[in-house]
Parts: sequence; structure tokens; C-alpha cells
Amino acid sequence: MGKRIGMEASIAVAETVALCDVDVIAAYPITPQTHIVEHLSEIVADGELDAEFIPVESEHSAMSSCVGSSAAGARTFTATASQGLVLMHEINYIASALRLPIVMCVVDRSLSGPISIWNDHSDIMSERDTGWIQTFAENAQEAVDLTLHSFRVAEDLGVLLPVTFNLDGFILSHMIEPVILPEREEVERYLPNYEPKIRLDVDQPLTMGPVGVPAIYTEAKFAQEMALRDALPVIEKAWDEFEELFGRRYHPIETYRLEGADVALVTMGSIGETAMTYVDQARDAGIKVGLIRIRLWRPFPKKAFLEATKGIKGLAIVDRCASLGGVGGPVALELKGALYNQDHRPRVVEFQVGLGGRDVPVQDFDRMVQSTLAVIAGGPLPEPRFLQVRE
Amino acid sequence: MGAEDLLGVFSARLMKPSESVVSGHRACQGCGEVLAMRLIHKELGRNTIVCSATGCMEIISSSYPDTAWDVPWLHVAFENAAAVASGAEAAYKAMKRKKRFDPGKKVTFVGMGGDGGTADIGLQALSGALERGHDMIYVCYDNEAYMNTGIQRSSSTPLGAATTTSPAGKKSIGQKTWKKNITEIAAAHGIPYAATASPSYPFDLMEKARRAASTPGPCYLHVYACCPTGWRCASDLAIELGRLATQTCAFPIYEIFDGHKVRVNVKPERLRPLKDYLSSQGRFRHLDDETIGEVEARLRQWYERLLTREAQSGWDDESDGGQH
Amino acid sequence: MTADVKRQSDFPTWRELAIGSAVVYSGSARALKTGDWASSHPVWHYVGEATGCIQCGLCTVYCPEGCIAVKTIDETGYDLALLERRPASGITPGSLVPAANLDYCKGCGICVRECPTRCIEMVAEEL
Repeated sequence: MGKRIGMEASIAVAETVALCDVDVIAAYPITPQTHIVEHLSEIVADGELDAEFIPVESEHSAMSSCVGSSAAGARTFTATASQGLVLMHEINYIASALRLPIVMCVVDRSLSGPISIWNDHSDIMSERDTGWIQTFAENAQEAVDLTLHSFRVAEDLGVLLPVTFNLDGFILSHMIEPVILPEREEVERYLPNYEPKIRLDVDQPLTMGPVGVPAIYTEAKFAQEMALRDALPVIEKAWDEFEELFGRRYHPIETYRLEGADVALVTMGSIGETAMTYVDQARDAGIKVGLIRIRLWRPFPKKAFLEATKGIKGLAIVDRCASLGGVGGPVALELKGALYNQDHRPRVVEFQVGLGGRDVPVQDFDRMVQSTLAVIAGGPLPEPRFLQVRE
Repeated sequence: MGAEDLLGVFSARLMKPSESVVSGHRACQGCGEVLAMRLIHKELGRNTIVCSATGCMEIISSSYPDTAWDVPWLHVAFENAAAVASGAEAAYKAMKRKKRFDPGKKVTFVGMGGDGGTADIGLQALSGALERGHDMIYVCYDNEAYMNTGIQRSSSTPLGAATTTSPAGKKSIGQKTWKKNITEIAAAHGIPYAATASPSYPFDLMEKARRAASTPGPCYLHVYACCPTGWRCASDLAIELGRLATQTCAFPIYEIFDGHKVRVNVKPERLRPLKDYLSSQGRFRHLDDETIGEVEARLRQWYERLLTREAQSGWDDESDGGQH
Repeated sequence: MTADVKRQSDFPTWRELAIGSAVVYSGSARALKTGDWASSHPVWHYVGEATGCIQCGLCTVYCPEGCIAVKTIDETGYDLALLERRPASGITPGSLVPAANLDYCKGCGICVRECPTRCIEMVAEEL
């Protein structure tokens, strides 16, 4: 087991990527991802990691080069944020359709316009339908651990899907926190060599990315859907194995102090740590509130989520993103969708907060929980709203 | 028929025997582009990995479950063939260095696209790949429009050509702009080898493919591709039109080494009037003599400039124009 | 479709699809007989009145389908009596000559146009 040291989350991610012995990194710099790719460049430049670092000329080419590299059979990594993520959007769908185990770190940053370099989830929410496995880290240790877990899951022959793990921009990516990096032997035990089922190989020529005629397009998409669903047990097993090796346990849905709770906050990403602080304070004050943190966003762990809501009377759903013109924020839509056909459904109150990097202090969580308590008590259900807008 | 059977006829002996692009593809009858592709890949052989843009050649060769490709082939999207090929090339470089792939096995990487996927939407990816110096060949098959989507103009459509988005009309001569010279753009990156070629000069084309494959670093081939469907000409004219294109300076055949040394490969003894080239193509039939005259003058001027640059390139009698 | 070319099913179940919808049998396009598209096809005159095929092989170069194969004359079904009438041509029943594979020939006519001795003739197909 490695030593516990203080390290910036981005640097820790880069160090872990290097420990995973990636073969190709194709990346384009964008705030707030830059420290990851800069540090990886340094590691390669010093000969500590034997990899090809392709300084591509745009994020669209970053993902395109990742596709070429992964199709050729190399372990491939990239990182991006915000505008870069949506620039590669076209190719993201193709990466998952081709079943390529690319690992990408998205350092969540709000989408233009107006242009904002600060954190929210609007960038990653544009990728919901792309067929990638998607997870969220809340602190630097989780970022390190999810890096390793991402390669392990992506390259599993029962999965072979690209994986994104998310760090909140600046508020996680640029924080110096105590981390334990894995040792190289531990990584080698956890992460076998990548041995693809098919690849671009002159000894076994095949055609990848053919025209998906109407006769097969439905089957192709269904196969992807089933691959995502079948990935869930592999994701969990990989977390089981992670615990055996490293002693830290992760779940698709993490819960905190839900026992006897009437209200549960639902968060995703680093905001969950502030929520935990609030929950502790609220519990001390006698409010029966707990916290559900979504760690695995895609494939959405419906069963685990529904299990977590058992006995909960009201959910205060926190979206760090608006879905303009829709009937709720992206996370709220997902959770309401999961709950709709259930016999037991908690009341759902929705909040869009933290947009464009706006701080979400403990007091705002109290407002959300009080609002939800009022609804449970029989009060009117408020429309989903931007909690922090100055009116 | 085995390789030895082809020895009975002369020209077939001058080509490598194996076909990497097989019969049964869905190209139009008389397609000059698929012919060029077939010849290039006969020369490049089986140890080739092809990354293709979306376009005619992709559509006609990869309709599930039929593939005309007998070498590894990957299609991703329209504008990124050069970026995809860059990734594959880098992967092999890393894997060979790390001894996970056989370091002794030479694999040629080819990124390919049409004029649309290269000169317009694909220009950024091409420039990036060339600048980064990947050891690969990029082939642009130039049929002078977005043919696969129904004959819309590209920046490679010649001035005066009618396409569906630059139609000839009462207020228009068709394409209003001059054909973008991507070969020169490629050469401006300082790459070791850039060349134009045509299936009408098939042995020159195949020799250029061979040279590109054996030249380390990025190489660019710009290939003339007659499209009878889009050019509105008879299906048997692909070769003849290519010859006329070169003989009228509409498509000069030349090489640029290391970004500056020029060699003109085909020097017609007598330049033919441009009308000879345009007259059998429906896409030019609306042009008046004045416009044709202006275009002809400008094409000849460019050809003369190429000859001047060749003279200034300092070829001596013994030079063969670069390394093998 | 040619039965002997390995190719995946046109209507696979989702499990039968190869991973990523890959086409795993290279060259499976050979199963598509594009010769059906043609309304005429080329016929070689290996021996003509003035001259016939000189075995230059340019047709094998210029065919976009790559379907001009090389066969012995008697394999092409050519009327051997014509050979006998002009022994000075040097072409015998065993000579290797080009012939279009009508399974794939689309009848474009490039070979006809480019043949230096004009020994190929386009013949309309019977309906």
C-alpha cells in the first residue's frame, strides 16, 4: 500500500493513468483539464511512461485518434471538459458503437454560453445517450480509484465499452487532498493487459464501422444497450476486487445516514461532500435527513437507487445543470423516470444549483431540505427551480 | 486466378498481383475513383491498415455485411480520417516499442477521403496529422464535389462546374471560386512527399503509392477521380478524361519533395485546348467561350509556374528526385 | 449472391452481430454479383481482321471492378475456328488472354475505349 501524500487531484489522476501503463494519450488542452494532460506530457517526456502522446489539433481529433488507437489494440486515454467534450460529441457515439475501451476523464465545466470556465454538469449531461459508462468522483482519492477502475471495467471482455469518470472542475480537479496512489504491482494485479477481441490487424483483416443498413441498425443499438446493462455486474465486481486489494469500497449508489430519514438529498459529484456536512448538522438539529450520492450514472443503477429510496418520504434532487425547456433537470428526469411505475414513490422536489461554478453552501442544502419537508407535510409542490437565481 | 496466371499479359505483370479491393463493390459503372483506389491498394499490398472518411468509397465498399476490403479497414466519421489514422499509427508505434506487437513487421497506415472529406470538413485533421509527422499516407480521391450525397460543390470543384449547390443558372456560371490546391497546402507543411496522380497514368500512380509507402513520415497523394454520374459524362470516359485533364493543364501531374522541390511527371508534348476536356462533360456545358478562355489561361499559367519551379529545384541529370 | 463466399447474415439477431457491428469476413463483397447491373458486356476479339488482342493487358489495369481475369483462350469460350484461320497471329488455344468475369462486369465500357487495338466490342445483353 502506498503512502498517503498531499497531491492535486489532476496530478493524482495523471499519475494513476501513468501507473496503468497507457499506450496512447491523444488530448487537447482545455481549462480545467490542463493539469492532467500537462502532467502526463511531463511523465512521458521524462521517460517514466512509455506512451505516444498525440498533441492533437482539436478535441474532435482527440477522440478520433483515440478511436483509431483503441481499434488498433492500444490502451488509450484522453481528458477534456465543457466545449471540448461537446466538440467530440459526434465521435463519442461512435466510440461506444465500435465497442472501444477508451477511458476519458471529464473535468466537469459549464457549457457556453455565456462562456464559463467554472464547474457544473452541463457538459457531461450532454453525453447521457452516448453509450459510455459514466461515473462521478467526489474527492481526489475517488478520482485516483476511479481511474484504475475505469480501465479495468472498460477492457473487460464482457464489457468492451468506453468509460468516462468525472471530476468537478476546479473544486475537485485543482484541490490538493490526501491521496494514496496505488503501487505498480497492485495495478498489475488489478489491471491485466488489454487483449481485444477484434482489432486492426493485417493478419486478421476485418472491416470496422460499416454502413449500418436498416436491417441491422436496431440490432446494433440493442446490442449496445445490452452491453451497458451487462456491464453493471462487472462494474460492481470490479469494485469488490478493488476493496479486496485496496480496502476501499465503492457502490453504484452511495448512501449516507439514510436510516430513519424522511428526506433524502440526491447529489452527484463533489457537491455530495458539502451535503454530508449539512446532513451531519441537520441530524444534530433533529432533522431526519440523509443523503443519496450517485456514483454510477450510466448504466443507471435503477435497482440500487430504488432500494435506497425505500421508506423515504421526500427526495430533494440536486441538479448541477438545467435542461432548458424541459420538465426538470437531467438527474431529476432520470430519477422521476425510475420512480414513476413504482408502487412506493417518494415526493420529488427539484433544485438546479451550482450553475457556472456558483458555490453551493450548507445553507442552500438547508433551504432545499426545508422545502422538501414542507411538501411532505402537505404543502404545494414547487416548480423545479434555479434555487440560487437572484430575482 | 492466381498471381502466376496474370503473367500472360504484359501490363498485368507491371502490377502487384493481389487485390485488396475486391469485385462486388457498389461503385457506379465506370467510376474512376474506385479504379484509382484499387490500383493504389494493389501496390500497397496486404500489410496496410486503412482509415476511411465517410464518402463514396466508404459507402460502396462497406454496406453491412458486405465489405470490399481485404485489408483491415476502419470508418469513423466524415472529417477525421487523418486523425483516426494518426491514432492507429501512434498505437502501433507504441505497441511495437513496448514489444507487444512484432517490431519487425512493417505496416503501412493510410488515411483516405474524398475532396469533401479532405479539403473542406477534413482539412483541420489533415493539417494536424501532417504537422505532427505521423508515418502515414493520406490519399485524397478528388472527384471534385460531394458526390456521395448528390453532387454538391466542394472547394475542389473547378470554376464553372455545375453542381447541385452551385448550379448554372441565369445568374450563375456554376462554381464561382477557383479549385483549392490541397497538394500545395499539404506541401506547405514541409512533409517529405506530396504528389498529384491519376488512374489515367496508372503506373505513375502506383509508383507514387510505392514511394509514399517507403518514405518515412507523412505523405500526401491527391488523385484525380472521374465521376461519370456527377460530371454527366459517359461511363467509359474515366481514363480518357483523365488524360485530357492533364493534357489541358486542368489536372497537372507533379510531385513536391520536402515541401519545395517540384518535379512535373507528365509533360504533354502539345497542350490541348481546354474545350477538348470540357466538351464531353455535362457539368460544363453551359460555359461560354469567354469563361473557358479565362480558365484556360489561368490553368496554363499555373502549369508554367510548375515548370519554372521544377527548373529552379535543381534536379541534375542523375538525380531521381528523392530517396527510394 | 454467390453461395460460396463467406459472409454474415443479412438479418442477424442482436447476438449474432459481431461486436461493434464489424464485418469479419474480409472481401465478402464478392458475394454481390454486380454483373447483374450491366445491360451490355465486352467481348474480346482475340484475332481480328486487321489485328486482335495483342495481350497488352491494359484492360486488366483499367477495369474499375478488377474483374478482367486472364484465362487461356479455350477457357474463354472463344470460337477457336477463328484462331485456325489466322495462325500468323501467334495466338493459340493455350495463350493467356484477358476476359471479363460477367459476375461482376458492370458494362462501363472503359476497356472497350482504352484497348489500343480496339479489339473489344460491347455487346448488348439479351433481355
